[in-house]
Amino acid sequence: MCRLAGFPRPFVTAAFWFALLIAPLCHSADRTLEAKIKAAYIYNLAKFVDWPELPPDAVNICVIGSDSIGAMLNDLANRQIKNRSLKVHLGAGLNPGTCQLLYISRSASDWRDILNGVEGISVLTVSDRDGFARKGGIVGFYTEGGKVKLEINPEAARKANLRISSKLMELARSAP
Amino acid sequence: MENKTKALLCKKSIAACVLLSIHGVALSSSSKLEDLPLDALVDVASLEDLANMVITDTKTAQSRDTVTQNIVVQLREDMDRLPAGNRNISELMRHVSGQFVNVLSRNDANWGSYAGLGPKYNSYLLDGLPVDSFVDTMSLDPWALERIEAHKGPASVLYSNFLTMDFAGNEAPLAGTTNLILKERIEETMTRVEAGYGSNDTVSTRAYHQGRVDNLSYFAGAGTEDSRYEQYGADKSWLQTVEDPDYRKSKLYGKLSYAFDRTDHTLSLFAHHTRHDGDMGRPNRDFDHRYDLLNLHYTNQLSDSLNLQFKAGERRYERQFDNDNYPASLDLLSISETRQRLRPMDLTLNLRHRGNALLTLGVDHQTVDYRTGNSSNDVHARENRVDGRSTGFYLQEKVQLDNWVLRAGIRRNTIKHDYDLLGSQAPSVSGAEWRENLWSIGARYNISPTLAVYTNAGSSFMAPAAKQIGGTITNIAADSGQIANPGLDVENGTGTDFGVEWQPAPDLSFGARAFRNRISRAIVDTVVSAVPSQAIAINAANLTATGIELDIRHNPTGNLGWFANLTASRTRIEDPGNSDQDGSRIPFAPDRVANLGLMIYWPQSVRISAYYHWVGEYFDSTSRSAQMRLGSIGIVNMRLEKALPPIGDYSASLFVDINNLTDRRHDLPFGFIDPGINGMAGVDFRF
Repeated sequence: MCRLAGFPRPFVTAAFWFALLIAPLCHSADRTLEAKIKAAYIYNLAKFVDWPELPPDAVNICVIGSDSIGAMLNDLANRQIKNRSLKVHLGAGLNPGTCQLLYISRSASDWRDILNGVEGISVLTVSDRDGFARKGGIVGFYTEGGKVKLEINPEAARKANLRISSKLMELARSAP
Repeated sequence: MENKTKALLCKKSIAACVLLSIHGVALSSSSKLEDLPLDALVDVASLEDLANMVITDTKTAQSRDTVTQNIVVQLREDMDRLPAGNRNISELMRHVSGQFVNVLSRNDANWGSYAGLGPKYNSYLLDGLPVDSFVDTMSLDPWALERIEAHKGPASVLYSNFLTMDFAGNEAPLAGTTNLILKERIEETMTRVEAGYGSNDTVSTRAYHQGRVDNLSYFAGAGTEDSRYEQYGADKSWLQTVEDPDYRKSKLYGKLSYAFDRTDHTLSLFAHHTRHDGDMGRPNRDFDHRYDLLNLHYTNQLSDSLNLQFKAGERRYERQFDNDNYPASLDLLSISETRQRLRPMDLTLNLRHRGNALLTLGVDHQTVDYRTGNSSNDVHARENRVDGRSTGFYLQEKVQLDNWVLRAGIRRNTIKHDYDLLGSQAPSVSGAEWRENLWSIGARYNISPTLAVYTNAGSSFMAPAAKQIGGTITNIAADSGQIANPGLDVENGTGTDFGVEWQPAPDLSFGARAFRNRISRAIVDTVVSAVPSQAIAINAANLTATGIELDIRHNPTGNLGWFANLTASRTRIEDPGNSDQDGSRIPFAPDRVANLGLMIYWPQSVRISAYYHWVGEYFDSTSRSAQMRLGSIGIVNMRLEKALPPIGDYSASLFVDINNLTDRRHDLPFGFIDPGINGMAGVDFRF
């Protein structure tokens, strides 16, 4: 057992054995956690984007596609955002034009058609599809070093007449 | 039910549930987040937390992997989790590597050290504007804070010195700066009430409310604390108590923040008032202190690439002490008064250009009005009257080139003093002025998303304070306080560091940072006499502090998190002309500091947070013949918390804080004594 000069033996001993005991317990994050982080991001995104006009009583978040994010977002329904109740709408049958934030999951194969459908409308489009923000979407998730990160296409946001907070822009990578 | 109460407990401790890693959130704290429902996660994790951002390096939010400096974040929930025996904000940073926090009593300031340098080489900021590290840390209520960023290494380009003339004088961000960041945008209405009772008949109450009306976010709070504190003070010293000292503290604060047409165009105003009165354990050693603080902040994102911030503030410190002539007599001898008003302001522009490059430029200005006086037998005598002002122009550029982040900055700073009165006499010199050019550079290389190295270097300077020049005592044979030294000169400092951050697994991180700080013509307070207690500030030639900090953080399961850090430093004073202090160590800087923290969730929604804090040897003076050897002490502090089952929107938790569990009473500088084991128990309601 090595002993660091100047530190009490009990401290060094306890720290060493504790580290040895705990280190093998490391494990990687799972997909549930990743979905949870993305859902938390989506909730926060709604706070830091300004729409030219909002419905008087609700902020509508719509989810297209089948993954766990939609179900998780349901847990946040009726929270207050911008002094309005958060409404979460799931399913393929919804009208994207009535949404303020539209999350298109990776499983939605018709994502290009959906994007075309909201062109020129103030809908914040979000997806975890690879390169989503570089292919016409506004906010894309990507994973780097085990962390969920954001990519934002400011030009697409401008076309949708959305103002994205500088705070949000600072934390995201800009899509060319 | 168990899961829900745990989630509520998590809301009180994001550190436990979200951010044990020094690298922040995202997936890095996965195992903690697994047990945290999304509903609780969005309450405790702000956008900055999710994105793992800091603001102190550029005055605007930046992702950690683009920051060259090491910045440690403490969130509001961290603060709730940490026992702080002296109710001092600086105690919330005591487990950060490189910092030694040394709060002398519940009525006194932190005389700690930062990266081997004494307390005046680390500044404190409130939302980027300087505040007093001695006074405001024992005055401000942490419930007003969203987070604290501890920026390690030199920060003198973007942040000016604090011009205070009190205590040890000016405070410079050479070893680092600690940025207290207020809550800004409120999303959810919440009321919080806490009441507690503890050792020394301490009764504490706190209340807080936050909410939002349309674009106006607001919060307000109040708190009181009454106690008959422990006796302290060396025998026959000016500090010695002959009865239990009483004190009362009351605080009132609030903030309004209005978002104009969008969330990044806001105006906010924060006000905080503290009254702190009582006695120092003798019949005629009453004190009455009043501290007021204002912070105004306007920010506007003028375009996609240009952001403007204007900040202005006022700090008023009024202290009144009754003096006796102890030990000769306990009768009232005089009443001393100190009044100080500082007005800092700052105008900053951040310009994003050429992709990810960020230019930060601005100007800051600060004024100080410092007056002391003394009343005896109904005769009032003015002792010191000094005005000072500082103006700085700064510019910093940060560029990102692939995996490299490069940063460089310069500052031109002027400080001017006008002396009307020093030591009750018109001084022979009516003022002084100093002009200094400062610089700072830094680089970071992200070897991979989980491994990075960084290095920084920068310069700083510190002008002598009026108190150090003029002193606070007139009768050297009998008075306690600061002895005059009109020959003091400005001191210059440089700081460098090199570090590595490594995150081998999502919930495990390591950090290592080596530092070297050097101060030329350093001003050092040195104790001349214990009875009466007297110190004098001197230019002590050169100071050098080198050291290394080692950090590990790990949260292997949802019910367990721990961290450990070690700081080893070697300090030396070079003063060939003074054999008494040549080769001695820098005062108040321990040779070793170590921390071990452990957080465990037990069944029935019980959480235990325990901290072992080891402080190595340190001295209170540069003078070998007069210095006192202190430290070499290990302290255990812990907090037990039990969340009660929530009823509707109402939740409550019971808590017990135990400080110095093993009852290690020990000496502190200036004759103060740690009181040994003490505690506080209470209940915290939220609705």
